[in-house]
Amino acid sequence: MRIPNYRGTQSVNINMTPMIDVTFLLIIFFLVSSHLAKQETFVPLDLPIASAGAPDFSEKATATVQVLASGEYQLNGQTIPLDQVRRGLLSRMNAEGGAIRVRIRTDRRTDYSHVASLLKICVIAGITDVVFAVYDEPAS
Amino acid sequence: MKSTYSNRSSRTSVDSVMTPMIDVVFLLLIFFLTASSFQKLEKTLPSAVASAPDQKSKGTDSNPQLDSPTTDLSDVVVEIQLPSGNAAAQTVRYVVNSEPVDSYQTLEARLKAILKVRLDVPIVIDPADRVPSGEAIRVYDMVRLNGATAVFLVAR
Repeated sequence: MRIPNYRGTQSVNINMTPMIDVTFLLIIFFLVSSHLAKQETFVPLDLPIASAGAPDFSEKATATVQVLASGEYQLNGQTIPLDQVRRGLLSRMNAEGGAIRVRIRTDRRTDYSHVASLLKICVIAGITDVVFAVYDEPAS
Repeated sequence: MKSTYSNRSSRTSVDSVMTPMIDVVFLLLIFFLTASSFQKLEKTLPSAVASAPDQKSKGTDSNPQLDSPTTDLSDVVVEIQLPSGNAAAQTVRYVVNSEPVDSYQTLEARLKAILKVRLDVPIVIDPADRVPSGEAIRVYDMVRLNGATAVFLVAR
């Protein structure tokens, strides 16, 4: 039997640089695209300003309701009347099997009555964990 | 003769080193541009809700925190009203327990004086319907910053 002789073969020199380039590029692509996917349902709003706001590290299931300056409500990127917001929150509670957190993103110019109605819906649905999205300093 | 050859050789090696370096530098540049998100960081402000008295009497689910032992203290109700007849005015009026307060600073001083006695006195913030929610949250934030532990926004 002939024993393979590797002495004659040349070592294959793999150039690592393009591979690292492509790997980094893919990492950045997925980072950015996941970031955009998270942000896509967020309308740009002038949030209220509050100094006592804290970064949100909560792992709790959160439903974000947006209250536009015109008083319209948005849940999951869809503009819907308040009654459907209530149904949406209840179905989300059922899906999560209990307590959820409601995050209210309201424009600072929105009439308070719209926010008050939304708060009432949360109270009636039994959602006590309600947070407001705020900026901690005025937008430049 | 030899020097010309060696010069070209060194230039080639510098070129071959520069290309991946520029690649990586551009990549890092793009990374940091996108990582430093263009969107402002949003914070969260926890809220507590108080039902308006008429809803409570109808038997709707009121805030359980209002049934806590703090209810034996009399509530401090901060009303935020818009001046009547002048819808375009940006200034709002503050009323603490049916007593008008002339400015935001006076309101803060009044609440500080109340909170100096007890921090857990229930403070209910009752903005009028047409008051901008930014103003309601500003007052709510100010009360919390002054150490109040039971601050409620009215739901109706």
